[in-house]
This record gives sequence, structure tokens and C-alpha cells, in this order.
Amino acid sequence: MMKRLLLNSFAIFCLLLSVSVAAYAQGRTISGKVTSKDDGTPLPGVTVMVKGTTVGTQTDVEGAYKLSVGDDAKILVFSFVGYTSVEREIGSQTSIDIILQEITTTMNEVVVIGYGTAIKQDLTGNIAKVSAKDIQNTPTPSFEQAIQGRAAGVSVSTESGKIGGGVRMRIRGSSSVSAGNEPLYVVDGVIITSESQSVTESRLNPLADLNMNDIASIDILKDAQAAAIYGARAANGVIIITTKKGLSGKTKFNLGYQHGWSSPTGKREFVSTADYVKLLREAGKNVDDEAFALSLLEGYSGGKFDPANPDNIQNVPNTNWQDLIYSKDAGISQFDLSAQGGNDKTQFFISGQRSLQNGILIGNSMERFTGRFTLDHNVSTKFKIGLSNQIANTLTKRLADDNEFSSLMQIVAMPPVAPVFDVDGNYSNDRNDKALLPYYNPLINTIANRFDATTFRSIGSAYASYEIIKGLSLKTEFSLDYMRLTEDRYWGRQTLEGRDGKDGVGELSNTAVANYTTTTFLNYNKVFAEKHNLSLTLGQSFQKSTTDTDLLAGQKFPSDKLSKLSSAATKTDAQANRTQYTFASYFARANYKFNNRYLFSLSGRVDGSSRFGENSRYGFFPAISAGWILSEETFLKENKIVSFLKLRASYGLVGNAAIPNNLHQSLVGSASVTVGGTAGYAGTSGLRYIQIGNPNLTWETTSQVDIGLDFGILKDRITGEIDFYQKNTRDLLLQRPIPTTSGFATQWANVGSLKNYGFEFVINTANLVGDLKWNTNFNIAINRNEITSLGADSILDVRGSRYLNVAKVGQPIGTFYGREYAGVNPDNGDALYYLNNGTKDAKGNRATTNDFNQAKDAVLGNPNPNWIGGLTNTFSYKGVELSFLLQWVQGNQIFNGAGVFMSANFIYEDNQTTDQLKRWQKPGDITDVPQFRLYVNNGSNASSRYLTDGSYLRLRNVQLAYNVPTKWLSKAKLSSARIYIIGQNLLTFTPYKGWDPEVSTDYLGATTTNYNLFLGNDFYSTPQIKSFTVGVNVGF
Amino acid sequence: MLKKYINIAALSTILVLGGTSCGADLEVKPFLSGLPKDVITSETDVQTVLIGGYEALTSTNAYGSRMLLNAELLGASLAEIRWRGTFDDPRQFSNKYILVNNADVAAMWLAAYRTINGANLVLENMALVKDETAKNRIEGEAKFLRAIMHFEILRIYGKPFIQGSANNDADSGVPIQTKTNNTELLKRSTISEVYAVIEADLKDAEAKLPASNGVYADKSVAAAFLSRVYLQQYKYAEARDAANRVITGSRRTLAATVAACFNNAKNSSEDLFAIQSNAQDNVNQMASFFVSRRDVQYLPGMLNQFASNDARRALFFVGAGSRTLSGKWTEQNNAVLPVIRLAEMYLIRAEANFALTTSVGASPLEDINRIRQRANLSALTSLTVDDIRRERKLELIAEGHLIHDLKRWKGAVTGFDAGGNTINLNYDAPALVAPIPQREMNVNPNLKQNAGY
Repeated sequence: MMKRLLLNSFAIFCLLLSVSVAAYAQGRTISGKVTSKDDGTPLPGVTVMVKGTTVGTQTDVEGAYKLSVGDDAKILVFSFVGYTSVEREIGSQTSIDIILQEITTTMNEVVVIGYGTAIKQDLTGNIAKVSAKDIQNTPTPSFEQAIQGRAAGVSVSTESGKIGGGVRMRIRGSSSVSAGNEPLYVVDGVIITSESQSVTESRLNPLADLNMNDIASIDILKDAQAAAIYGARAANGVIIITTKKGLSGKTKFNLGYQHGWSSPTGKREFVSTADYVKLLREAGKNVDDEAFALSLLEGYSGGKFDPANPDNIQNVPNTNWQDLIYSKDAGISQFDLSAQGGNDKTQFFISGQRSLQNGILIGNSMERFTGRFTLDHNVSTKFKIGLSNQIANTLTKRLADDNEFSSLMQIVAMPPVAPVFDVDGNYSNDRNDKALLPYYNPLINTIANRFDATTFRSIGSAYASYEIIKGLSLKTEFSLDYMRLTEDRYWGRQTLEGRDGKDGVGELSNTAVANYTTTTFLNYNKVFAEKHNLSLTLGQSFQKSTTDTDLLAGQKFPSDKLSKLSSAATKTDAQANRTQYTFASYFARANYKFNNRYLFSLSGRVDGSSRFGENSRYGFFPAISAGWILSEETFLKENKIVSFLKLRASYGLVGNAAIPNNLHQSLVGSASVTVGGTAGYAGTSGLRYIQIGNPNLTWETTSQVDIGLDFGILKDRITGEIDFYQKNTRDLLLQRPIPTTSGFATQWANVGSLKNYGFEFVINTANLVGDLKWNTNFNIAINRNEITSLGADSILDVRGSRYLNVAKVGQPIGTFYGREYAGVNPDNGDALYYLNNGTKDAKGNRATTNDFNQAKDAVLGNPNPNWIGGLTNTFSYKGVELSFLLQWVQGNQIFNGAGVFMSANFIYEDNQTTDQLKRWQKPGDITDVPQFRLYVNNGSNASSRYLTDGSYLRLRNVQLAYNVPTKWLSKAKLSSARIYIIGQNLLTFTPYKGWDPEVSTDYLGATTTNYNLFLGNDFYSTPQIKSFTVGVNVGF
Repeated sequence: MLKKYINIAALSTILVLGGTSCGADLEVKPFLSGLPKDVITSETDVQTVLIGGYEALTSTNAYGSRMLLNAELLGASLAEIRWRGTFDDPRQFSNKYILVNNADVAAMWLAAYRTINGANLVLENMALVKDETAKNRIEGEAKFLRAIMHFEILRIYGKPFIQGSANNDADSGVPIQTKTNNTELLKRSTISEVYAVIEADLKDAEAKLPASNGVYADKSVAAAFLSRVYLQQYKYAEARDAANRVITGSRRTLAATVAACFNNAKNSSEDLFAIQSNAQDNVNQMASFFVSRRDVQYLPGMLNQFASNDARRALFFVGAGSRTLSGKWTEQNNAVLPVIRLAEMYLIRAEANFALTTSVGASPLEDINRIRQRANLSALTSLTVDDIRRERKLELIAEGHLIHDLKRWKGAVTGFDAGGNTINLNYDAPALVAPIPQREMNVNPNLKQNAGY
């Protein structure tokens, strides 16, 4: 490694040497001011470039710029995000003032393309951009949640309303079955750690460490042309985050404060005492055991239910358990302060934030401190250096996973006849004979459990760039993303884990991820003969990531008050684990534009990774693309209606290597994350195989073709994009099921293929311009996923007994596959299933059976939506702005995994959902709810019975803001002031009867395969957060 | 100008050069594991591999609980024992209506073959063991592990062993695995083929194991399992003789009370083989299901089979919610989990002697009375086959024998049918054989599913 660093240093050294050779005289200095056409205010941060060169600067806080240009400089280009770029002949002028007009169109936007930038108009690939303005101040724990519904083909779903939990991001569908499906995240050129590092099965989102208000823009690289420069890890798209930079001029401060209140988006209805008693007795009678039902009622009611007088339930408690778990002080409280400024030579940006979010469930919160410092310095006009560093310290108070008895949401299982407290004021519980519950009472966790996840995160990078000759610059970057997560858990003596003579259980884990990258690349931009624009990029990069995980555990604590592990009398576990991977990459790109009309691009990347065996370590990922700007052609140039029209097409290969490390070898070990526990026995160490390797394991490759049309109509009042794409993934990195007679259930292999194809449509319109402005952004996307092969197998089955998701040939990923529920036999109340045998998968034989085993599996539904989309409307009048974002997901199903408990004919004593009241009671009853039978399974299996439509339409975000007029502000010596209210998730329209249709079960993601396949499941998942927030931003 | 381009060319070269040294950096070794050829290189290493095999036995899906728990539930009538827990998988065993996607069914299968894989890894590396004594012992222990797991799954997934039949029906047993990491699509062997392998392994183990071997398998432990294996096949003479060898040669003694055999931090004087559990590796999940979670409720139908003064009846206690629970599994922390204990050998010897009308070692009456007297019961003066069976059932209750004994004795139990009706199931009913796991059927077309699934 050292060797490479030396070589890089040597490269820089050579550069410095060449400075003296290549330096040449500067011409004149041009200065001026850039203002906004809308309100005449100065525009800071506008890029001012000499056309066809890399000579340029940015306007300062006052909108002013000063730029030294060579004698041969002819045209200045002024560009700024959200404004129409302007080109101006320099001629003999030394002062050029510019007025920029705000645009709704995005054609002239600067987009980040990976190791460079481009103007959107010149793109031959598909990149969606979300700017700071769209997401700033959104009161969500992490930025991905704020872009939900704002970019076509980008599906974002927050797993649940648990603060800090996982967010599932899918760009143009899932491209893999067992390897990761999450995009690559790049912050200011740094590939950052974005996978959960928690030791729990549920995810903790490392992206929540980023301060959303530091983000200047988010560029989402969707097609192969855009993403191929990130080669081996670009199959799922790339999300490039650019943070705010410093600006020259007077130092400008910005202060923000917001406060919000939140509540769950929905509740589920459960029966109350009268119905619970009625149903349980009926269930008992139906299996000739009402006495047992009565004894249960007596037990759970704390003796208030009298089996001798079962019809009198006046004294029996009627507890609404669900209402006990929601926090009264849920909401956000956030304080931001930033400063930016500098001079011609040096610019800086500093920001700090303290954000406290209390979740909707008691005990769940996240408190985050972030600081960011960015410094850019021009050593000379050719030589620039800079650094940026963000630190974050995040304390997330977490909750038990969805499947744990101590999960608060599972409280809905408690019988309503049970009191919350016994006569002595202690919580009712499964051990409390004075107030007995069928399960452990999770409310005890709110007083006797601690789960503090503290993240320390530092993402830093330093760069040096040098313009070797005009148009040719070299940039070298070194970055380190260091993350340390400490999860400190303690289960008190009363808790499920800490009782039974354990006298409290403590566990401390530390996970440190050091992820460093060095990148060096050359950019060359040149215009030949005015008609040939050439842009070349060539570079290499090396990444090494090391993860250390330590875990300590103990029990027998002297007191719940002394709950650090040093106090534990018995130490029960000590683990230290280390795992590493490396990537070595070489990349190149050539963009060529001819006559402003014809665009060509060629790019490629060679990647090598330690994750693969020697023979198959390297992969090559090229992409080719072309574009044709028809509106520059004579036949369209003067067209009154069409102002812009571009056809583009791209084809390329991208790879995926998001798998665990060291999978290619058959390994023996004494401890293993894949098998669990240690191989030791009776205090003696042991060894065994921990995995079956596969020496031929190599890259999973996705080829993607994209054909797109960009258009502008009526002077770009209406702009839009239409894209068709197909992604074919082959050599799937598949955690293939193998006969367990081998000792293992799975083996990784490059087997099978899948495809995603779809359509995206984006339209942006400026409906009203003038004082009253009304803009509309609409995007809609359709993606179809299909597993086309799984090698010799036809199915990859991870269902177990409680879920339905599989990977199945001919079906989309995560397809719901299982027994098809056929309702209830009117004669006897038996649950029925369709036999479905005969033809493969076809719902052939419609005869029914009450025997689950006799029925055959059939394809039952799809957890992937048919359509996703978003509609944003923004109105502004003078200083008042109103915007609302509607977001929707259509055509997917949700499986209620908890149905087998909560809508399950009293197979157990769990309280039942109100829809179960329409159960079968007597011969002739027509219903789809089977007869209640205590402790007997009557349709309470994973089947299509618990599958429902999961479509939804959500008022994702409403924002009303008022910008105080400048004239009033000047008196208070303020430069800007904005007051706003934001409503998040205020309204949801859905046929789903559960808590919330945006749902995922957090414990099902222990392996990537499971995480990829277990889509659309609800298992006591925490509903999403509905919030109302007020805030203010002041600039001075 | 030329100089400039030379500089550029030089720089580009440096860039590329900067990358060529990366090859070595792509060689990243795991930190917690290694290739077998690097890690298993000596006699000591083979011994460590053997321990890895034992560890696999402690899985909650093997002897840690599920193999014993589900055998108990499947062999009891609805009026005797009910599963009151929230997990549906053991309830299906309790209700005798097992679904093909039952998670325990898949997990027990895997746990068994994982242990077998560990044992085979030992056997494949025997060449590294030079010392003759160690060689015998290690090989004996590995074969013991391989045999008992084949035996457990044969009894759970195989068709019942029919007395007097050749038990040679195709696909009636389970796949036999004798290689490591072997992904071949194995067929189910016949019942008699699997028993032949089990017997061969156990006989070899008994021959090679030392008389005493700490908490690990010794000669008597192999003989004790062999005795179980013979009994299940009605090979009374062999079962009797093996049990007798254990009784006379094991250096174990009956504990003073049955209670003294359970909830111990160390093996009791009676334990032939027990799963070790400690604070770092608390693997006794029987305690979790039988007592902590109050999942296994003993009902009057079972409790009334005990005489009121039976000390083993007194081991039951009433937990929260008025559930009667087994006192054999009350210690939640670090209690060893007895898998086979000396009392069973007396019961086997009695049952076999009785069937053969012999009195090898002792008369059946003597053996039964020995067990009875420890439980505070009066000595019998005469003996019927039912007396022997009852004594065995009551002595070994809550230890995972019910279904295996029921099949051997050709008994019947009650359960539910798909329609929720209570039905009687004979010992050879398909419902009393677990299905081959669904996921296994998916990946291995050579497997044939059991009847009824």
C-alpha cells in the first residue's frame, strides 16, 4: 500500500515540476456581478468559466466575481444550479454583469457524472438530480427519505417508523438476488460506507450520519453510461452527493431552527374485551374445551373474570394496549448554523447541526451532532488544493427487532381483558400471577432496557488538482471514511433476557470501519476548430476497507443501576472479528460533441477485487452511448413549439460485488458469522467448516440499454424526459440452495440471470410565470423484474414456515409463492386451500382441500409495485411559497406475517383484529374467516389469506414558507429570513388495513439474500411517522 | 510544446504505473478462518476438529432441544401433553398435523448433517493422528457422532421400523453421508441400510473408545446408544447385552433420586452422556421451552398415570397461569442436558430380557424394581409388559422418548386432522413421520417425500 501512496506522491511531485515548464502568462482580469432576474438579489456561487477551458471561478456572497483570463479567451459561461446558463462574448470588456433567470427546466443544469461534471443538455446517459432546495429542512432522519417521489425510477422505502432504521433504495429495480441491491453512495468523490454495521438483524442506517442541510445536490446515475465509470459496483446505480462549498466574499452566516411534533401514520384495529371474551369462549367450545378458555380468561383478567359467571364481564378490564406504546413527545428539534465565505484565493464552508428526533414509540430517539468544514485554496491559478471533513456523533436509542417479544409493537397481542398493572402497581407479565399475560410485557423494556447505538463518523478527503496545460488537469484525492459504532445494551433483571437468575444481561459491541480510497485522474477538455468538443478522463483508484467488530457480554450485575459490563460478575462472551476487502480500479472516459449536435461517449472501468479468486478477480465494464440534439438541426431550429429535443441511447456493462468477503474458499474456523457461535464445546476450542467455497466466484454483470428522449417545449416552459431501459443481469452471485446433507444450506455461485425493464417519464412545467408562479414536476416509472434463470434450480426458497417470498424463475424477485387460500367451507367452517395441482404454477385444479399439505404452491402476488411516481406542485407569490409532494406506489401486495397470530382463530391467545368478527359460526355461513378453534390451526398458515393490496398514495410533503422581504430585513441587519411549516406524511390513502403500507420487517435482513427477497412483509412493524414541523432560517 | 506533451505522457504513465502494484493488495486473507490444508496440520488440530463436531450437537435444533422436544410432543396424546407456546412449529408436532414447511423440520435435518459433516472432517484427517491410543479414541468419537445423528434423523424422517419386516423399502430411510462438504444429490437409503451404517459406526466406536473419556463419548456411551439402536429394531438380545455391558462396565451409578439427575452444573453420577452447558455457551434450550416459556404443559391425562406417591410425579410443578410443567428443566443457566443416562439401560435390559424371557445381568423384575424404588414406589412382585412400558414412560418423561417408544410398542395417540377434529393415530400413521423438508425437496430431485405430504 505504501508503495502506491509513494507512487501517487511521485505523480504529484512530477506535476509540480511541470508547473514551471507549463506556466505561461495570464492576460486580463474581468469582473462583474451576477444577480437573479426574479428579485434582483445577488447570486452567490455562480460558476463563471471561460468556455472550453477549465479556467473559472465562482461568485462570492455578494454575487461578485473576478476572473483572470488568457488573451485567447473569447466567451464566458455563467452557470448555476436552477438557473439558465448564459454565455457572453468577452470582446474588449473588463466588466460583465449578468442577470440569470431561474428555470424550471433542467437542461442547462450542471450534473455530476463521476470524476467530473457535465451540462445536462450534453448528457448521453440518464442522471436524475435533486437539489438542496427540494430537500432542505425536511424533518426525516436521513436524506434518502427526503428524495422519495422526487426522482423517476428511484424507489425509496423506509422500512418502518423506527428512527435510524433501514431505508431500502432501488434504482430501476433489483439487479441481484443475493448480492446487494443498494446503490453505491459517493460523497464528494468518496465511496462511503452505506451498509448497516449493527450487530442486530435489523438495520441501522449509516447514511443517517449525514446532515441533509450540508447537501448541495444529489445526482442519481441510473443507466450504464452514467454509472459505468464506477464499473464493478454500479449495477444498482450510483448516488453522488455533493456538499456545499465555500464562496469568496463577506462571510455569511445562516441560522436555522425547527421544531416538530409527530405521531404514527396509522393504527390497526383490535377487538376489545367483550368480543375477546366472546371469541375465546367460542373457540374453546368449538374444540370441546370451553373450560380451558374460561380458565385462560380468568388468568388473564387478574381474576376479574369469573368462570362460574362467564356472561358477566362488567369488572373485567378493557385495555387498549396499542395506545400505551406511542410516545407523547415524538417530534424533531433541530438547530443549524453555517458560515461560508473567503476570498479569491481561499474559500470555506463551516456548518454544525444538532438534531434531536424522538420516535413515535417510547424510548426511540436519535440525537445527532454534525460538523462540516470545507476549504478550497488556489495556490495559483493552476494549482488548487482543498479538503473537506465531516464529523458526526449520533446517538440512536434503539428498540428490539420486530420479531422479539420485547418489541413494543407486539403488545397488540395482549388480551384486552388483562390489566396493565397488578394490584401492587407492577406491570402485568407472563410471570405475574396477579396479572398474567400470555407473553412478556414489552412495556417493561421501556423502564428496564437500554440500547444505545453511538456512531462516531468522520468522512474526510483532501485533494490537489493541477492544470498541466490548458484543458488538461490532474486531480488526486485521498479520502478516509471512518466509522465507529458502539452498541451498548443492557437488559435489566425484570426483562425477558435478563431474568431467570441471570441478574441482568449486558452486551457491548464495537464496530469500526475504516474505508480509504485513493484516486488519481486526468481530465482533458478541448474544443477543436470550434465544432469538436472533446472531454477525456483517465484515472485509477484503490480502495481498502477494514471492519473490526468486537463484542463483549456479561451477566450477574449487582444492580440495574450499575449496568456497565465491568460490573458483571460473569462474563459470557468476548469476540473480536476482522474482515477486509480491497478494490483496485482503472477507468477512462471520452466524451465527444460535434457541432453542438452529435454526442458520443465511451467509458470503461477495470476493477479487481479481493472478494474473488485469483482466476476471476478482474472484471471489465465498458459503456458506449450517443446523443443527437435534433433541436440544433436546421429543420427544428426555428420551430416555435419545440425548443429542445435530444435523442440518446446508451449500452454498457456494470458489475456487482456486494457480497461478504472471502466467499470463494472452503474455510475452517473456530468461529463464524455464517454459522453462529463458536465451534468450542465444554470450554475447549473446536474447528469446523464454516462455508463451502467456490474458487470460480466472480463478478455479477449487468448489461443495460437505455433509449431516451429529452424535450423542451414552448421555450422550455415544458420540459421532460422519456426513457426506456432494459437491464439484463447474468452470472448472478447467487447464494444457491444446496442439499443440506452436505452440512450447509447454501453455496455462493455465479448462477442464473434476471432482467429489469421499464419506462420512465418526467415532465416539468412552468404553468404560471410572473408574480404568481406555479411549477409542476411529475414523474412516473414502471419497472418489471423477472428472474430468468436460477441455473439448474427453478426456485430459491427462503420462506420457512411463516413467509411467502421466493426467487422463482419467470417471476419477479421476492414473489409471493405458496398455498392459495380458498376461503371457508360453509358447511363446517374449515379453512380451505385450492389444490392447484396438475399444471405447474397455473392455478389449475380449483378443487379445494382443508389439508394444507395436499394443496400445492402457486404464485400468489408480487411485492414489487407496478408503478411508482411523484407529483410536486410549487406555488410562489412574492415571498410566499407553497409546495406539496404527492407520492405513490401502485400494484404491489403486502403480506401480513403477523396474521398467523392476530387473525388466526385463537390458535393462540393473541388478541384478534376486528375483521375476524365475521368468522364462520354455523353451517351455511358465507365468510372468509374460518371457525375459531382454540389451539388448533384452522387456516392460520402463511398463505394468500394474509396477502392484500399494498398500493398507496401519500401526501409526502407539504411546505408553506414565507421569505421576509429584503427591505424589512436590512433594518435588522439580516440578509435573509424564512419562516416555514412542513407537514410530512400527513395523508395516506391505501386499501391496506395494517398500520402503514410502506412497510418492511426489520429482522428478516440477516443475509443479503433474505434482505433482497423478503419484500413487502409486515410483522408488527412500526408505522411510519407523520409530522408537523415549524421552522425558521435566518441569514446575516 | 513538445516538452509539454512529453510531460503529459510521463504523467499518464505514472498513473498507470501507480496501479500495477495493486495485484498483491487484492490478496486479502480471512482473519477468523483458513484453508483446511493450512489449519488442520497436526494431531492436535484433528482433536480440535472433533470438538467442533461435538459443538454441532449442542445446536438448539439438535440435542439443544428440538430433537428431544418434538419427539416428546409427537408421542403424546392431546390429553397428556399440549404445546402452549406461541411457536407454531412445535405445536404442529403436538397436534400431529405437521406442515411440509415446518421450520423445525428443516432445521433439525440441517443440524444433524452439520454434525455429521464435522465428524467426517475428523475421519478424513485421521492420517495426521500418529499416536495409536489417540487415533482409536478420536476415530471412535467421530463415528459415534456420525452414528447418533443418522439415528436421530432416521427416527424422525424415516418410516417406522416394522418388526419382522426387512425394512428394505426404497426411500424409507434417510440419506447416508460419509464425506465432507458433499453436495451430491443423495437418495434416501432404506431403513435397514441406514441402521447397518449406524450399527457399524457404533460398534467400531465401542471397540475403539476408552473406558473413560471425561464428558466426551467413551466405550459405554457408544454401547448405550448401540443398545438404543438395537432396541428400536427389536434386536432384543443385542440390546440387552449392550445395556448390560453399560451397566456393568460404565462406572456410572444411579443417582439417589431422579431429581438429582437434572438441573446440574456437571454430569450426575448417572449421566452416560450429557450436553455440556456453561455461562459462555448456554445451550440447554430444553429449560427455555419446558419451563421458562411455559410452553410444554403436562395435563391430567399424563399426570394421572403416575401413582400419587411417585417421586417423579412430585418433579412436576405448577407455574404461572396454572400450567403444570416438568421439573427436569428448571435450571435456566448452565445446566448440563442429559441425553442418555444409566436408568435407561436398566429399562432396556428389563424390556429385552422380558421379551426374550431371559435374565441376563438381572431379572426384569429386579431391574424394574430398582427404578421404582428410587422413585419411592413399592416393589412389584410380578411383571407384565405394560408394567415395563409404563415404568419406562414415567421414568423418561420430558426427555424426548415418547414417539420412538410409541412406534416400537405399536401404540396410538390422539391428534388433530386438517379439519380440527380429534383423531386417533396408530404408530404407523403417516402423520407421525415428519416430512422431508420442503427446501430439501426443492434442491434435490432424488429425494422422495414421505406419504401424506
